[in-house]
Amino acid sequence: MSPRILLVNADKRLGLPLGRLLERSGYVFSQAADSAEAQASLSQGVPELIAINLAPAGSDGLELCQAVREHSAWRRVRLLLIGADAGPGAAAQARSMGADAYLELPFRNQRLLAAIGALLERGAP
Amino acid sequence: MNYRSRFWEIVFLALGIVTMLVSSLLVVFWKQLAPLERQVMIDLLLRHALALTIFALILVTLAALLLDSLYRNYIVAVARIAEEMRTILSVNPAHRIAPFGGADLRFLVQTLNAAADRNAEMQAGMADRIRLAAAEAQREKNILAAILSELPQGVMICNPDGQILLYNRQAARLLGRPASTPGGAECVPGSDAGCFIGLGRSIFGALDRHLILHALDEVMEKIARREEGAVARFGMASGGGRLLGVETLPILEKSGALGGFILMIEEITQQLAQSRRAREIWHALSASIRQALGAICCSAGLLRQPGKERPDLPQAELLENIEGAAWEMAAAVEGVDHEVQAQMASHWPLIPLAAGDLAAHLGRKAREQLGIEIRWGEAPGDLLVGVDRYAITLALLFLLARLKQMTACIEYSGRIEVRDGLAHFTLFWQGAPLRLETLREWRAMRVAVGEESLPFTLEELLRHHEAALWSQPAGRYLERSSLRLLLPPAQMEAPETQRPATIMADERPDFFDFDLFRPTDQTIAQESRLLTELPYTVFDTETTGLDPAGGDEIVAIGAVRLVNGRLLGGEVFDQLVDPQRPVPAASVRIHGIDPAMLAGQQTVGPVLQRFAQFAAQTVLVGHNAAFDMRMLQISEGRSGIRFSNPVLDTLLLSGVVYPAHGDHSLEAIARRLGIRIVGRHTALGDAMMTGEIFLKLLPLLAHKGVFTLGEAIEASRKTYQARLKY
Repeated sequence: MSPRILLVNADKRLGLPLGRLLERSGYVFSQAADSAEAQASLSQGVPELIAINLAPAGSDGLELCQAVREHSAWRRVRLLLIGADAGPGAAAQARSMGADAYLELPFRNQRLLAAIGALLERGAP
Repeated sequence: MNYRSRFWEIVFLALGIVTMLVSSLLVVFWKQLAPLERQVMIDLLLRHALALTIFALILVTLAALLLDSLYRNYIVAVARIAEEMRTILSVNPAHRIAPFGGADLRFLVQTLNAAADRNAEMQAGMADRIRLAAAEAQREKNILAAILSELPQGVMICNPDGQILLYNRQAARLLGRPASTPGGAECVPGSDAGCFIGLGRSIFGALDRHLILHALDEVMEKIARREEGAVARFGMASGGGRLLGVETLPILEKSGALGGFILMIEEITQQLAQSRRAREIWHALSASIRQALGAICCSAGLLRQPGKERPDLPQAELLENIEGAAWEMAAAVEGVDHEVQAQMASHWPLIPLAAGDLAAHLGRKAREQLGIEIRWGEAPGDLLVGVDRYAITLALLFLLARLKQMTACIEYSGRIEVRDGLAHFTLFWQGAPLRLETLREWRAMRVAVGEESLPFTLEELLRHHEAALWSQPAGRYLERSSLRLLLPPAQMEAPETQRPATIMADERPDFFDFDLFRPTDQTIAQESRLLTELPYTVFDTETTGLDPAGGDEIVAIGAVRLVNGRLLGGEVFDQLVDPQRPVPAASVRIHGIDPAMLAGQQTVGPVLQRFAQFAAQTVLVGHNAAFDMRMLQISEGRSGIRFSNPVLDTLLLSGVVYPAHGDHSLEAIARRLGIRIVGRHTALGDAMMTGEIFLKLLPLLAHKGVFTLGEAIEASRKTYQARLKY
């Protein structure tokens, strides 16, 4: 069965190509616009990986990240954060919030797929 | 002992001696008489007893009148003449004694006045010589003072105890507050209220003591390590939300000990806000661009390698997505472009200049330096351009010099016009056009004409001015070759801080006094301290009436600081007070402060709180200070401020210096001491005059043996006027 990925993203411009890329790469993909929508989706079923785009201003992706790690049923899911902050602190902060990986925007599609592949291969923590 | 008691002591002593002598003679005479002769004498005396008594009484009365006249016309008169002569000889050589009394006294006064004239002439001659000798030294001092006063940074020099020896206008602006600023809060360094800055005051009133001590420790450690540039820097918040950068530099004695320190103070609020804003701009721009690039890259990646699984998905959506993200990126750049330009420009300011003036300046320089004649047409009168005049003129001269070299043309015509919101400066000439590739080469060259040069290329300079430059050959549109410079128009802006031209003071300005470097005992209010070395606050109040106990209130307080024998006209307190009661017309007539002027002013509580800060650590001086102090005491309940400063009263001190004079009013003393009477019955005016009087009384008090604060208070207590109570 294909791995399931939940993309939490409020940026439609990135959502469109990302969705297509994941679909094309054989993942079962669903999308949520914000943390509340994502949590609603998680309560229906837990995917193997959640990709959260932190880039749009006002994104509550970090709070979602924490909520996922604190939830007993969700905490084993892989978390990939995507952000526009290229500062050295951004990746460290993402990791301290429970993310498994942080990708700076922009990135090559192969890089994203490689990161997803590596995380899924590693399996649940 | 006063003159009156001494006189009568002598009179009674003389009478006693005369009485004893006469009695002895009478006893000797009586003993030589025969008994019959004695009986005849007794009969005669008894028979004429009434006549003899009347005669004796007349004799005593005549003697008393004679003695009183002698006392008034000679004893008191001589004492008065002596007091006035002392004034002439010590503080007011122009004072003359008004003739009074009998012919001999008048003659004495005339003789003394003539001697005073002679003395004044001699003093004037000597003063002229001294003035000439001192003028040059003073001039140099004043140049230094003028430079310091106008420096854009705040400068403050303190002795090791933190006492301010020098400060300039900027330092006072940055750290202090003017005395008339409303606000009654405690004087806390760094607070919005700010503190009073003044000569002889402590810097620790305005700056956190720990910051300075820490900075000094750092500096001394650096000196001990023999580091170069022993300077310590710290940042602090000042009143009004300002942020200040302070540099601390030590002043070392020859022995290496700390002799004082210099503080260079700069406002960095704007600088910090600018760099913070620059970071914010960069952060937001970077995030927007990365976000848009993320969408573009991802979409482009998909387009480059279309998926085989879903060939049905439309590619046009991805292309639209790329275009949309690119436009979002463009909008983000556009949004910050203008602000970034403005930020960069602030480091190399462009000054608004009339286009016509720029052209005329260029024409003049071209003629003088290159022998080139430019005939400019009329410029639009209100057209301003933002330029660095020196740099842009040199850049244009650079172009003209090369044009002349290339075309040998020395006559140009110029046109200035506004098109599409931009100022166009066009130069025309008959001859070969300037080729675009040549112009491109010139743009990359450093701007230099003769010995003058700029550290930029023409391109950099044009970019800084947001200018465009191109050349056009003669042809279809133009009869002559041309070179066109486009500059954006500028708005005339008021400068942020007005900086008046530096005017050198005739006299030593108030804001520095290196005599304070002399070490003194810092604790004031010690009665053993010399009057000449104490700091004073000379003050006066205007009131609704003369009855403090009956409900009269303060309507104005004026005060001036007096430090090291100088009245500091720049350190004054001048504040109207809302008395919260009607002001009688009679008192309005005296001080001219009508109720309309008092509406909206602060009440006595906050004003006294600030006045107490202003007068802290000084001796209060007032004329008839008992009245003013009573007014302050009455307000104590509401203000919660208790004035425990020592107080000196010029009315009483005048009584000490001039015991033979009856009139100790402010005007009478001022006239006697040769002080111009101006600004009477304004609190500040009276305080200034009282201050001048006090300064002139000091040497006269020294003649009377009054040197210290304690002696002055004691002498005041003894004077007659001290008995006047409010």
